[in-house]
Amino acid sequence: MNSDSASLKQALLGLIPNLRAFAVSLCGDIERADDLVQETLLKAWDHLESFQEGTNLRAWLFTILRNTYFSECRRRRREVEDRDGSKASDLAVHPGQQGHLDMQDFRRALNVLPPDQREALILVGAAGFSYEEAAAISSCAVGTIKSRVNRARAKLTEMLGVATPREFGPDSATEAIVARTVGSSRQS
Amino acid sequence: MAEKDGSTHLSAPAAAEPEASQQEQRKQSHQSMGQNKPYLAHSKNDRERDGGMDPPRPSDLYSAPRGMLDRSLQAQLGRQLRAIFSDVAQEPVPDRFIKLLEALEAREKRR
Repeated sequence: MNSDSASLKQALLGLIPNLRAFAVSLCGDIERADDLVQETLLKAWDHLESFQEGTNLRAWLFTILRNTYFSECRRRRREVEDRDGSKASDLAVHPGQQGHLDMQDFRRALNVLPPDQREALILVGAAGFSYEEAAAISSCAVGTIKSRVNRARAKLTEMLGVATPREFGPDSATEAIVARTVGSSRQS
Repeated sequence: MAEKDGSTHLSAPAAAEPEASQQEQRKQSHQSMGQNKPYLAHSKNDRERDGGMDPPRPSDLYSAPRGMLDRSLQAQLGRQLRAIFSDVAQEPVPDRFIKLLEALEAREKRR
């Protein structure tokens, strides 16, 4: 048992930087991110028996972290609702800065994406998971991940203000989507 | 199994499934993707992930310059997303986590 726990400790240590990066990009707040990581580590340690040897420990930890995050989001929903007004004003992001994206603008835009779209985008676009792995982590279909990623990209592009709303996709009433972006972050 | 509603019903901490069944899901999902969303059928995984580009859409074809602007913006979005991630991923592990793991290990030894 001791050698097991020593090697688990090493493996977890090695993955903490990645978990923190995922948590920060997901919740946009380093302190909350570190709390998420801590909870993830505790759960992983206590439920090691449900991890299957030889499978991807990183994906398993990401799954625990995102599940922790999303159930926390559900718990917090009521508290968050009265902050949506301020979120809506954040959303009106700098339509003039064509092709020049400030990192602050980008972070803000990322944070107002619906959480499920943000998650899909981070898993595929930053953490380097395949669509299939991302789907397994988020427990949804591969097609759902793809469409979330596409919608996330379209919304970011739109919020960061380059293309006209009409440029994006099957749902052409994008101005309505901008409005819904705020609404759906409440729903999901 | 990717059934009609496409849900895979994986949940933590039982997320990691045997490789074989993942492969199977992969195939099926690809097939159903092709059928349901033909515009995604010609997309290349690599291209989509790297640079964050969408497959061409009719609107891109009608306005080429705008489409190219989108692509460069998409690439920029991809870089910024990865930058946010890797900035944190490169930070050293904070003490609180090292202590936490040491405490967990010590607890294990006492058992």
